[in-house]
Amino acid sequence: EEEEDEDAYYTKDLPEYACRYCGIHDPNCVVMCNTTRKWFCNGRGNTSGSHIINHLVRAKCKEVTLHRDGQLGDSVLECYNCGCRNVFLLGFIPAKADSVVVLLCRQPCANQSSLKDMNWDASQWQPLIHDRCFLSWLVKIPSEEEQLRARQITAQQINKLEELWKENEGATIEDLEKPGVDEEPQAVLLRYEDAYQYQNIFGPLVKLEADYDRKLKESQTQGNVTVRWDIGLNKKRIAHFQLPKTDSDMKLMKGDEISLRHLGTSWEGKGHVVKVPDNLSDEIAMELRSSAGVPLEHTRNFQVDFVWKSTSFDRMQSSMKTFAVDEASVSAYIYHRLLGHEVEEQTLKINLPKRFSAPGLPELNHSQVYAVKTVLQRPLCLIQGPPGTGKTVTSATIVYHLVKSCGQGQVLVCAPSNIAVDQLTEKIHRTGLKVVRLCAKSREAIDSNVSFLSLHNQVRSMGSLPELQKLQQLKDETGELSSNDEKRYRALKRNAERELLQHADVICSTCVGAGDPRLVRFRFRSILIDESTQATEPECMVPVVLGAKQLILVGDHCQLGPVVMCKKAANAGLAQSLFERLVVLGIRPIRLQVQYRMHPALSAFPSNIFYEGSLQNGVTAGERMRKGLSFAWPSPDKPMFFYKTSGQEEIASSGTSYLNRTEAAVVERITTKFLKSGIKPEQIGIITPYEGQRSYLVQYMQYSGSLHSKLYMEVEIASVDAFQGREKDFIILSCVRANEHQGIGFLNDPRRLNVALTRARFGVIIVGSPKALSKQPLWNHLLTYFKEQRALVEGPLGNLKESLMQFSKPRKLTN
Amino acid sequence: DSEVYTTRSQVRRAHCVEDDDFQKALDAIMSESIQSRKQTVVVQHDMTVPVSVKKAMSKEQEADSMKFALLTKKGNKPTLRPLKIPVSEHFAAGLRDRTQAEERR
Ligand SMILES: [Zn+2]
Ligand SMILES: [Zn+2]
Ligand SMILES: [Zn+2]
Repeated sequence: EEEEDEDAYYTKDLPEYACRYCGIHDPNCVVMCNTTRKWFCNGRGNTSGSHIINHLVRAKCKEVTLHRDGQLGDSVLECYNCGCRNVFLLGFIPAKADSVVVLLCRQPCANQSSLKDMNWDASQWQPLIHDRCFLSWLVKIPSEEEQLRARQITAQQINKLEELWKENEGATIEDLEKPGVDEEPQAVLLRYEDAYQYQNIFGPLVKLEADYDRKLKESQTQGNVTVRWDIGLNKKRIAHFQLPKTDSDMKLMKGDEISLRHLGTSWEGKGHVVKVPDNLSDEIAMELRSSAGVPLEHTRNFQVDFVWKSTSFDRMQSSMKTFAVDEASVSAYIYHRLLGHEVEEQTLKINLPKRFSAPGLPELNHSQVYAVKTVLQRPLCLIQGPPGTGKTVTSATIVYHLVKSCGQGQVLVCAPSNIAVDQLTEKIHRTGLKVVRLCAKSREAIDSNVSFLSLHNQVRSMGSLPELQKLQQLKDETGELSSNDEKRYRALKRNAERELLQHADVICSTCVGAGDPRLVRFRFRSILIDESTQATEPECMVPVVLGAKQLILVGDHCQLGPVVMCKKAANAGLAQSLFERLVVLGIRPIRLQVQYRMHPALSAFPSNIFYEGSLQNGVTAGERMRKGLSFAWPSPDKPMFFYKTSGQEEIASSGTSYLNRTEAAVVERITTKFLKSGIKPEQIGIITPYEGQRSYLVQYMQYSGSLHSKLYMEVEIASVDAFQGREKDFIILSCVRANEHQGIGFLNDPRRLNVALTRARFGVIIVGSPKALSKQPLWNHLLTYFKEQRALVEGPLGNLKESLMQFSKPRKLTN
Repeated sequence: DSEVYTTRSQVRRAHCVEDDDFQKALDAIMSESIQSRKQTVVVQHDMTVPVSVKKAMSKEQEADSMKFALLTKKGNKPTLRPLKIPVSEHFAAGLRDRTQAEERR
């Protein structure tokens, strides 16, 4: 019977001011949140704070209004003196002689000295929120009976409901019971019935990742920031500052949107990142969108918020929708192949070029020629480019022939990262093709070696539009245009952009950039995606659905894959690239087989372990021998060694990363030896998988290195991931992890080891603890290899001694 | 996840991670709010209680609560809104004792 009673309480139609958690609706007991306009009661139920406080805290709301039928009427709670409405700051003081109270904010009003002269007793100030409830005389606390009769909602349910409201404002607690709310997402498949099923599986995964990304960004607010003001070359206002906690999951990238607030004047400015912390300085630079009202007289007490933008995720979702509903988005053949359907192989009838090498690019080797030739004749092709095998040159050559020999119209060229796009853009430009590099608007200020090819710069240098140039000049000089001029400027610019894009042979952008509104009416028959193994499937789909009839995916599934931050989404398969799935479906990638980067001794291990021994060397040992080093390699013909350390790992000050002081000291000594031998700092790369070690190394080399600190500053120290796609003459790898039982974390991923080992042209030195590392089978392999090569060493660098240590037995591979 | 009964009530208070997180988040919002206003400067406005409205207040008291008024602004005009405050509130009891002592004199 009691249960029925309870049901009846909240199933009957409740007034809009009923507590959204428990249903209590006594006007004296409820408060409205001004931000979400939802009502909550001042009862705790079975949680430690009242429902309204629970809501305000979890939804990050701060202002409330009382109910009009309550004893105080519908007043907004605010400071009597300054109008501040943040309830977490509000309190009250009584008058000295009268029975009057007044609401005052704690900071600064209740602390103001002038209050002392008046009739108020400031020493009696008390907060409105006490013991995690509003004071009961301000908002009544519902009685025990009322609370028992109301819906019993747990803290977990409150949490979930608040989460649900972020997506669906009108959700109710009943929606929590609905299937799908708290379940694991459906995992990706190998084959899909149709594009609707494809969308239904990938859509939720992209959403999960988007939500994760949003929460991460929104939680990164940093206070107490000191700013240095500056003006950029484009006359825009720049703010330089450092963030105290950079050691988190969040990687700040150029082009990221952030907002800067001054807490004293409550000025707020939006803008985007134009510089991130690097070896030269830990400063971040932000270009402000508008220079109006910038509080230049202040430098302290700023707050930085990260602005989350859904653009890239929206573009992925929309491309999957296009894939599902628009038949013209891809050819029928590609449609079925992407979904894993059985289709008969197709060959394209084209006239093959007589010469396969393209003007301005190096001559191709046999495996590259084979790749180009095969790709041109097939509607769907995968090219696997192991490290140093000339993937970019091959891709650029393919693009050249698609335009010149095959007459396929405009070609769209994409890659997940801006760096990869720029590299490829540069190579394609060398062939003489007309290339436009399409950048996101937020990245226009960021310089690169192909800046002159970017759409916005090509527009600037168009001689045929004097009016546009005049307005551009005015804008550059004054920073802002009148609204009429701005309108005119934008219209002219839009036209110019369209014209340039229409007349380009090749358009290059990031995968997500291919969803740019400026490309909306464009159709591309041929699409090439470089580094496609580093893109998620939905990311790849953004360019693909622009009309693909011929699709070329280039990458290497034996190197690092796409970065997916949400574990749930990654585990469900979002971290698998389209390239990899197609490989599993039986499409054999064409492998480029000749590597031109590494000394043959350096390529042997990666070739055997990661590429079935198929990697051939296009360089000789002699071409990769550096004479005059001030220390000897253990074996003169093998420029490599594993330096054994037994220093302990430590948790870095951030609490989320590791460092190893012993390894840092060894790395510094090796670096100093290299530098003393005349090797330039930019020829050396130091790879370490942990941010904690990276920042420690930077510091350590600056202060403890025996050479000029400027030299060490120019040595690049970064994560494995940051080195993917790049090379250095010498690589020093600091492994960091050294413990008895906890394992080696990051280093477990074989693809990460592959990347780390294949960056160097002339020499590799690994610094690490064999004892800890040898427990992992792959590392055990590597250590055994170094030992066999008599390159496992210890002792002073000038007098390296072979180590004869026995390794731990490897544990079974668990993942 | 243990459940405990609070001594005063029948409502069971459940301890869980989500609730602990809430408590931490509340502390964080509190200190962040104060931090964010460390440098804020505002002008001190006149806060005297207008005599006219003060007179209109009745003096009757109930056993367990006192009639107070909350000074607010309606538009820009100071306004008093009646408010019952329980004598369990320290300042309310103090004021009552003082008034009673004055009346006896
Ligand atoms: Zn709210
Ligand atoms: Zn409630
Ligand atoms: Zn105030």
